[in-house]
Amino acid sequence: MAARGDPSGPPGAAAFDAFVREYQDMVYAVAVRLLANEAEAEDVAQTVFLRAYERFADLDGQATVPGWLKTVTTHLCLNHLERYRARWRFFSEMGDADAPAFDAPSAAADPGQALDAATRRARLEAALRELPPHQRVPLVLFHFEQQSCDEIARVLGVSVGKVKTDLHRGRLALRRWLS
Amino acid sequence: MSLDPDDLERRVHRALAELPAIRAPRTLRGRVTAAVSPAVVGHPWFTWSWPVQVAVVLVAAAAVTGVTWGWPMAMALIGGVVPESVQTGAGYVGSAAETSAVLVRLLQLTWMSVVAPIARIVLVLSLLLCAACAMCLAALSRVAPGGASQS
Repeated sequence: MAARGDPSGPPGAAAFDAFVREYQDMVYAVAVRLLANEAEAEDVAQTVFLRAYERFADLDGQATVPGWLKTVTTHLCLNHLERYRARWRFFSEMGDADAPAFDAPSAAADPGQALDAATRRARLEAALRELPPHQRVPLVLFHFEQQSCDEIARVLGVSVGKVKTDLHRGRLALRRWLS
Repeated sequence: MSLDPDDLERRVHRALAELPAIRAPRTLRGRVTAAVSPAVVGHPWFTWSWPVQVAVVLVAAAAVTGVTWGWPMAMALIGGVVPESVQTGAGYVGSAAETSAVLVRLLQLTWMSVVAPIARIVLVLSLLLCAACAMCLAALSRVAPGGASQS
């Protein structure tokens, strides 16, 4: 592998390893919150870094790296969700797009009971993952990635009104876990 | 709790901001490193770059073809040369040459009676199987999560 100064060759192993170490938490966090699935998030994160590797000579050291990584992660996750939903409809024909993607039993506990801050945060995280994708994705993009409703609507290919509605419904679903 | 949308937005934003940072699993870095490693040994064949895949297939096909058609000719050549040299030899050299000639003849007979009849069929079947596997993997890579059709 070539050193950083050789843009024509593959990236240096040490430099790319440091790059992965620096950004892996950020990329994985975006993916796991969008997908609500650890294994799929790890697959997507790996793909993101492989794409970064292909253009590492241009990326390394640039101030736009975090934004580029988040954009690629978001697009890959949205593609993944679209394919998942299409397959689910094809094979099951259940048509319940609002159903939770996986079980989160901790979020089903009685919210009225006294909870310490750590437990409440854990249940909020679980409740966020339990949301259907059309509510979870806008929430993650809005609150974690600081994207505007217009940007989210453009990324998702839906109207701004739908984004606002889904955001509000998602917040309503989370409100019982707010402190 | 208030249902005012703006207030709810602020509360949710504050609560989500307080969530602990998510850490990547330890396996992620290893997976990425392995995937970008230039060494192909230890990685599945279908993960290699296509020039390497083609080169390996060609070398393997050439090796199998060479063994299938070249080995009998080599045996015949050796079998014809060794006895003559044995006649001019003396002592243990002569007996060793005789032994090797017998072994060569034995290998030749084994090849002609056991291996040769099925070698060409095995070669053709192997090539067909490789082609079928390559097509299946190409199709799977398009429909699997993270495949080409997703990007």
